[in-house]
This record gives sequence, structure tokens and C-alpha cells, in this order.
Amino acid sequence: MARIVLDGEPIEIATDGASLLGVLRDQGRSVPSLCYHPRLGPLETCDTCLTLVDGKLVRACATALRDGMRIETRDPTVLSAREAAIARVTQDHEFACTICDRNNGDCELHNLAVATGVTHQDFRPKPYPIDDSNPFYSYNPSQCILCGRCVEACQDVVVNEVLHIDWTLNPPRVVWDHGTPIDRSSCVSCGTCATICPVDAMMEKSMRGRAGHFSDLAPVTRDRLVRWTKSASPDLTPLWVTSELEAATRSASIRRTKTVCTFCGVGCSFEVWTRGREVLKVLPKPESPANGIASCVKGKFGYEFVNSPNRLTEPLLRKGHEFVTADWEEALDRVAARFREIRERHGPDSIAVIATCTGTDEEAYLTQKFARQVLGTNNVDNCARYCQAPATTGLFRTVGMGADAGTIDDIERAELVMTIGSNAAEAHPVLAARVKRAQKLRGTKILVVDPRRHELAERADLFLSPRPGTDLVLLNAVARYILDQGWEDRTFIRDRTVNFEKFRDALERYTLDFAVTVTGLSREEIVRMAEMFHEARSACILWAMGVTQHQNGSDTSTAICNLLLVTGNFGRPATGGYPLRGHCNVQGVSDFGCLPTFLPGYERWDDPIARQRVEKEWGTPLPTKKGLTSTEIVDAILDGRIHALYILGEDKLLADADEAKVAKAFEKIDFLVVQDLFLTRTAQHADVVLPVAASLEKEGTFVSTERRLQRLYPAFPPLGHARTDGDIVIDLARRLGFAWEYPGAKEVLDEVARVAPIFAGASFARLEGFSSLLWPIAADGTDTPTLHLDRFHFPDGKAHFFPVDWSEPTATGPEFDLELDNGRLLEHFHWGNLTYETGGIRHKVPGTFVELSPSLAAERGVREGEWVRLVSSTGSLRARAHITERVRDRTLFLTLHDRGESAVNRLTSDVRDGPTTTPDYKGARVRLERIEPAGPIESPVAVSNPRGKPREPQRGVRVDAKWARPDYRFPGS
Amino acid sequence: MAKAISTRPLPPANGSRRARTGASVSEALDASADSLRNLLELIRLLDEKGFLRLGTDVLRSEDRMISVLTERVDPADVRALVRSVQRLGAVLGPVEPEAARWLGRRLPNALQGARQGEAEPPLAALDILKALSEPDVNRGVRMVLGFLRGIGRDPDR
Ligand code: SF4
Ligand code: SF4
Ligand code: SF4
Ligand code: FES
Repeated sequence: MARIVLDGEPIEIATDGASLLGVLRDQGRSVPSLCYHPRLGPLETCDTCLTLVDGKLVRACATALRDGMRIETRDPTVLSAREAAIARVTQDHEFACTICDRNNGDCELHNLAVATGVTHQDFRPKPYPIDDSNPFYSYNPSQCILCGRCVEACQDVVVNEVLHIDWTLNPPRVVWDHGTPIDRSSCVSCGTCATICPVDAMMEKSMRGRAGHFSDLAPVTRDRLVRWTKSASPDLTPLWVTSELEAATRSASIRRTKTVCTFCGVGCSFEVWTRGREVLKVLPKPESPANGIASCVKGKFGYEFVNSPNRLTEPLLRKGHEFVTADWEEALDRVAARFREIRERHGPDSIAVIATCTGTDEEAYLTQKFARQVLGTNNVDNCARYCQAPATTGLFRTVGMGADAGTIDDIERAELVMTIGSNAAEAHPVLAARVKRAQKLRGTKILVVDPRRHELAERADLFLSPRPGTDLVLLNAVARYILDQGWEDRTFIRDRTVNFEKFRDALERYTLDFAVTVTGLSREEIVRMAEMFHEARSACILWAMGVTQHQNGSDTSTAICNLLLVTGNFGRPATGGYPLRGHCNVQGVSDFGCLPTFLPGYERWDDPIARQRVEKEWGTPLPTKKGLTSTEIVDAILDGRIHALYILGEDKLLADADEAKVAKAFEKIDFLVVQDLFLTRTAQHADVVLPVAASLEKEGTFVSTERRLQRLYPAFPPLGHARTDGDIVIDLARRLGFAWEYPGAKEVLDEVARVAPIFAGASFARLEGFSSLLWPIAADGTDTPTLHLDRFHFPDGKAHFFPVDWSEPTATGPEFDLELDNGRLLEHFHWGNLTYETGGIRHKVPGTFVELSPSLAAERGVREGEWVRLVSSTGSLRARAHITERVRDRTLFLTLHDRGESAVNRLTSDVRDGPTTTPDYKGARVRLERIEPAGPIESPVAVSNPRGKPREPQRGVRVDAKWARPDYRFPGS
Repeated sequence: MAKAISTRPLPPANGSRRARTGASVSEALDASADSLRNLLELIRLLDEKGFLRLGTDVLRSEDRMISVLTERVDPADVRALVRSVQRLGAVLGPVEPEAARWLGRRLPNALQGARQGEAEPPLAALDILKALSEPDVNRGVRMVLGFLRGIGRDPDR
């Protein structure tokens, strides 16, 4: 409680220490501000918020409320100081609002100028040209008010550490690296600077010349018009009127729609601005629960695919050796007839369904209902099989629930964040940004276990690279060392776990010596890792494909959970295990039942109570035979058990291990239906191809890696004759004799709430706009940001230690002498079906490459950019070489992003993780052959690629340097 | 047996839907009268330059504009502005396409002809043509042109 005197009146404020700016606004005082943003905090660069406190002018944004303060907001000193500050800001920005693309009612400088009655300006252009070099956004120094928001965002929010303001320049300006052109700098094009800029200085190029009615004037015409206007009168008042009206007219045709990102599983939500089908910009919002103002290049700029001429717009039917277009009637009749025929002939389990992980939850629910009710089979799976199924197994074994233990906030608050087998800075960039921020601003420790020296590894306090496939040994050895030292959390183990003794006994052989021999790490490294767990009061472990896509993926995931349990890092805020989800809705498609062994809401398929609940709702019995996994489905096609396959939005040919094997299966199958946005490599094998809507074209919900349900709304209708996955499935169900009635996605979610207890309280109304809920969601709408706080998800409420043992992975012959790691780059998404459609992304990363270490390159005589051939026991491919220190010794890294001759799954084998049948994608061994160059060679890493360019870290915008300038005068002084 | 087929049939008319729409309208109009084609070209140009969109936006945002005028702006400025608009509107009068008036009289018939010949659902361009023939849209276009020309001008000077 603070007692203050505000403009002569004594009042009481409940929150002592709150920001004065907020308090004054709550009290109905209008205080201008420009540099302040709630997601950035006070930057103190603009001085527009000056206020008298105890007789002294202070910046309200940077002042905390204290008991006894005397505050004046109406005093002439205050008003004239603010006026001086605003006048100085307007020297840096020319008002031409009617022809500015930022004039959409949300330009903060325009609004401030109108609100404070600015009538004149003394504009001083800066002598620097516009930097237009980056494909996605540009910077106009002459319009830059030097507020520093972009710098703060780049340095301390997304922590890409590219931008700073060079306060020593005259006049100062924003610079990239050392004054490098944007496109040649270390900028990763995340767009956060453009999102947060209060004016048009830093702006998305998709807005430039397109948002305004007359903003596409040629620069010379624009300048002439502005000059002409100014010579007529320096008074800005008519400009305010005109531009306010113009902004009002724009708002009629610019639609703002809330959406959720269609790429990775972080769950960034945005407002997408469209005019007709044109995407003007994608705007992260302060209220976006997972990302706030942050984004990555894909989520912010990667939407050209939506209007690509390559998109499918009509159904296609295979006729002999070609596809012919068909109307929906004909196409769906064909699908229904063939499914009916095959079911009658070979039984319901001769058909299988692969659900899409980029469709909505409601579509996922309908897809599994289609498989189970309409076709009568549990053969339904999704791409979690390729990635996080082993992680889920590890979690189910130990804590009873196969999902992230908490939220990104929990991760950010942990004292220790360990990542293992995850290149989060590229695969989950916005989540990784929170980890980088925690380290930079709060000293959180980062521990990275990975074969590759990626960005988080570079930043890590400890970076370990055990021999591929031996992570399990490291984890067990660290657990054992912790026990040997007596560092385990005994109270937690006693009160909240069972099976501890069995676990301890099973660690017998995991001595430091054993671990050193197997992992290739030093004793000191392993001990240091144990010490870091011991020193941290809270720890989270994040993992991804580098763990799960191994023969022992489930066991290694289990070992991760055991280590967390032994150190008491589960069931409390800021602790726990976090498998990071790769696709926007791979979490949701699993949660909503597209798994052979789980009904919606992770109710076991053979649990009588769950079955009864679903059967009652559906009015039909559920299939009684256990279903096949996605990888088993391929085997079943080859051995004649599966005759028809219905694939929704999955490029299975490229996604499965051993491409040649899958191609053989697709050539053998009797009937293949594929629905997708593009004629993917998988769709090329189909008998019927159905064109579907993109996420921007439909409504529903996604579940992000945090278990967070969020709504997306349609920004425009589907392209051409494409239809949503949900519509198509409903139509097919009807054709096959089930009178499904779903007026919209809302009713589907209502049904899910009735059949799946973890979604009992989920509803469209509760998820309106940017609201979100983290499951389990109780019937009254209470959600669960952090799991296991009171009890673990076992009948006894305890966590279960689950001992796991390591065995040497199945080896291939000695001729395959190199380990092949593979994974994502920041800019692309999987095979690139979506991302290669965006010109700017192609410019940044035109294609894939294989990374090899300088020592290996020297040994084999391979030069940067040369083609090499990689040969494994299953196949071979050609790729261009990139020599880098990111990989070591005899490990290669091949990016995933190719659909043709460099597609990685030409090399991987179908060896699998036992419990989940997830392929051992990361265990491939290859040999490398140099291909004699036929002509000149050039690096596959474009000069515009940010990789390897040094970052320029600093804290914030360094306003002290501004204040130290000889021309700076504190307003009012 | 399903070998990969990597090519797909071309969409009915290559290119964007908008281009297709334009082509089919022009075909329909072609059938009606030659002179309509010139008009269509003019309208297409107007559309391309954003004038038509602007006009419809003005209409759609009428409420907000009024509230902007009444709430955020000094009444004296509003009076000055209205004078400015009137004057600019008058200046623009002769520039304003003769065609638009002509269109108002003639187009409905031509459009009907075009619609009957169309198998496709109502086309966006047709709707725009129709909208332009409405006096309100016309007024909107003119008004905004006036505003934009009047950037920063003090009408009493
Ligand atoms: S990385 Fe590039 S796009 Fe992202 S905030 Fe920094 S400068 Fe801006
Ligand atoms: S470019 Fe950066 S410093 Fe300049 S106005 Fe925009 S956010 Fe502020
Ligand atoms: S790809 Fe992932 S990190 Fe990037 S914007 Fe989308 S959800 Fe966010
Ligand atoms: S808002 Fe306080 S100094 Fe800028």
C-alpha cells in the first residue's frame, strides 16, 4: 500500500513498487510514452513520459511507485518538458501519414502526436539510405525515432544479438553487426524488430506499398507530394484529419484474424493482416501466450505457400499414367466405393489412416472417429510416431502422463535448463529465445548434450558431446554419481516416488569409468554435469529427436525422467521433462486420439470404461483389435495385410526411414488416398489426391508443446476448390453410411469434451481470441499449467522409477565409417513443401547441404561446395559439402530439407525403437565419396545466410551512451 | 500398383483466379459490345490502382469515419475539411470519369448478359463493377481522392 499525493490530491494505491506510468494511467492521467512497451520494460530513450515526482522531473516508465511520493502531472514544467521531448522525437520522423503504410490506427507516434496536439515539426532527415537488402523487412533511418525498442527486442527478447544503436554516429542510427547491410549480417530474420517498432522505420516489406491506399507512390513522387504539401502549410492539423480518415477507410478492407503458427510446436499465436487473399503481415501480439512479441522467420514471413500457384485446387484422380482433375462428387464417390470394397473383401483392418499433424484438433478427432467408427479399425496413427512417441513412452512409464511437465514459463524460471538431442534455437526458436533470455538476464545455467555445436551449445555453460547412441549411459552414470555423493532429493523420493531401490540397484554398472569408456566423455565432464544438477534448485530437461530417433529412444527418454526424479525435479514449478514437439499440432493430433492404442484424451483403447464412454457418445461399438503404428503399416502393406491407406497431410514417403522401402509399399498398395496442399512425393503415388485448406483458411484449435489449446480463425476461404480436412472426412463418413452432423468445429470440440475427461472444460467460448487453456481442463474450465503438482498420473499418485539398461546399438559394416546426424535448419520446415514456396526463404537458404568437419574435409580432400556422395546400407544420395566446426571428427550432419536427390531418408534404415517402432533415423552410418567437380564450385551456404556470422551481444540499448552525447539535454533542464 | 506421377493437370485457366475472372468477364462483355471493353479496361486500371477498393472501404467504414470526425477532431477543422472536400470534389468533378456515369446507366444490362453466360458463381470483379455504378461508391471515391489531394492543405488559404 502506498499513500501518495497526485496532483494535490492524497490517494492510496494498493501496489507499492508498481510502475509509475501504469499507475498514472490507471488514475486516468494521460501520460505520453513511446519507447516503453509492456513486453520490453523501460528503455528511457524518449523522455516523453516525464513527470514531476517530489519536485523533480523523472521518467514515469522507469520509476517505481513509492509510499509518500508527491506527483504532479499537470504542472507547466511537466507539460513543457514533455513538449520538448516530443518536439525532439519528431525531428527524427517525417509525418506523411496519409501515404504511410503504418497508418492503420496503431502507429504509436501518430497517435501520440494527435493526442498531444502536435501542430508543427522540425524534421531533420538522417543522411543514411534505406536498407532494403533483407527480403522480409527494411529499415528507413530517416523515419527512425531511435527509441531502441528493436534493439531491446533483438538483444534481450529473442536474444539474436544483432542490433544496436550506434550512439557515436552523427546522427545515431540502428546498425546490424558492425554496420553490415541487413542481408549480409547475422540477422536471422525473425522479424521481432519490425513487430515492435512503433513507427514505419522498421517494417515488413509485405506491408510496404500495400497497406495504404496511396502508399505505393514512387519515392520521387512521394517526396514531391510531401514537399508540395509542406510548402502549402506547415500546420499538421489537416494532415491529422486526413490521415485519421484514411486509416479508418483502410480498416474496412484490412482484416485482422487471430491465428496460430502452422510450423513448429511452440504455439506462437499471431494476428494476421490480410486484404482479400493477400497476407499483409503476421503480427505477434503482447497477449500471445507462448510468444508475446516474438516470432521466427517461418512464422512471421513464411506464408507465401498459401497463395502458391503450385497448390492443389481440385481433386485429382489417377487415370493410367496421369492425373486428371475431377469434381468432389466423383472423387469422394471413388474413395468411398474403394474403401467399402476393400473393407468387404479384406476386413476393416486392411485399411489404415495417417492423420495430419498440421490439421486442427477437431479434424484429428474426426479422423480417428472415421477410422474407428466408419472404417472399423484402430489402424490410425500420426507423425508423432516418427518423433516424440519414445519421449511419451518415457514419461508414461515414470510420471504417468506423456506430455510436457509445465509451460515455457516454467522452463524460463528454472535455474538449470538442460537440452539433449535438441537444436532448439533452430527447431523451436521462440522457445529457445526464452532460455537464452533467462541465461542472459538472470544467469540461468544451460547444459547441452548434443553431437553438434549448434547455437545453444555455443552458449552453454557446459556442452557435452557423447558418442552418438550413448546418451543413456551418460544419464544413468550421472544419476549414479549423484546417488554416490548423496545428492539425491531424499524427501521427494520418499514422499512422491516408488521403485527407487530397484532403480538404484540397476545403476550398478554405470560407474564413471564405464561411462567414460562408452561415451567418450571425460570424467570431469560427467562429474560437472552431476554437479550442475546438484547446484540447481530447479531443473528442466528439454529433449527432441536426437534422443528419440534412436534404437533406444524410449529408454533414453525414460533415463531422462529417472534423472529428474532422483534430483526431485518433477511436480514443482520450474522443473520437469519437456519433449519439444516438432509440428504445430503433433501434440493435438495425439491428444485427440489419432494413435492406435489411445482414444481421445489418452484413454487406453482397451480400457473398458473409456470404451464405454466413447461407444455411448458415438452409438456404435469400437473396434476390438489393436491397431498398427505408422511404421508397422508400411510392413503390413508389404506383407499384404493392408490394402488401402488414407493419408492426411503427411509426406510419408519422405518422412519414413528407408525411402526405397516406403516407395515399394506405395507401389504395391491397392488404393492410396492422399490429401494435402501440394502434390507431394507421397501424393504422387496416390490414386486419389484431395486438395485441402491451409491453417489460415480454417477454424479450430491446435495444441502446442506446452499442452496449450489455442483457437485459430479463418483469414480467408480455401483456395480454389480446396476443402478443409474436417469437411472432407465428414463428407466421406456420410458417403459410407454415417449421418455425421457437425455444423462447425465448435460442435466437434463439444463432443470431445464429453468423451475425453482431460478436455472436459474445453470449449470455443473459453478459448476466444488469444485466450488459451492447458490440459487437463476441468469441467469448470480450470486448466493445468504445471502437471503433477499434487500427484503423478498413476493410481497410487506416485512417480515410478523405471530402470533402463543400455545395449550397444546394432552396428552396420565397418565400411560405413561415418555417423550421420540429421535435422532442421531454422528457415525450413521438413521437406520444405511449405517453406521453399517463400521467395525470401529460398534466397536465404536455397537448398540443403551436408556439414563436415574441417579435419574430415582435409582427410578426404573435400572442398566447400563440392558434391559428395553418401552411401549407407540402404541407399545413397548426393549432397553439397559445407565445412564447419559445428560438427566434429567423423560425424556428418545433413539437413532434412530436400525432396529429391539429397533427401535424407534415402540413407536411414528401418531399425526401430522397440516399444514405439520409431525409426532409428539418427543412427545411420555412411561412407563418403568425393565427386570430382565438373565445373566451378560455390558454397551451398548463401552469402545472405546468417550462419557463422559473429553476434554482437550487449544489454539493452545502452541509453547511457545517448545521455553522454554532447547534444543531449534532459528536457526541462 | 501406384507408380509416382509427378505432374498434374494444369488448372482450368493458368494463373491467378483474379486473372481468370478478368478474362471471363471480358469475354462476356466482348459479346455484348466493343465499347464495353474499353470501359472494362478503365475499370480494371482503377481497380489496380486501388481506387475501387478505396471507394468501397470508405463506404464500409462510414461509421468509424463519422466517429473520427466527431470525436477526435476539432469542429473548426471539420468545417474547414468539409469546405476543402467540397472544393476538391468540384475540381475533381470533370476528371471523374464520364464513364462512371455512363456505366451507371448502361452497365446493369451488360452485367446481366455477362452473368447469364457465366457458369461460375458470382465474380468479384462483377461485384466491383456493380459497386462502382452505385452513386455512393462514386461519392466515396471522390471524397477520398479529395482528402488525399488535400494532405496538409489549409483550405482557407
Ligand atoms: S534477428 Fe534480425 S529480424 Fe530478428 S530482431 Fe534481430 S535484427 Fe530484427
Ligand atoms: S527502427 Fe528501432 S529504434 Fe528506430 S523507431 Fe523503430 S524500433 Fe525505434
Ligand atoms: S515456427 Fe515455431 S517458433 Fe517460429 S513462429 Fe512458428 S511456432 Fe513460433
Ligand atoms: S516512455 Fe518513458 S522514456 Fe520513453
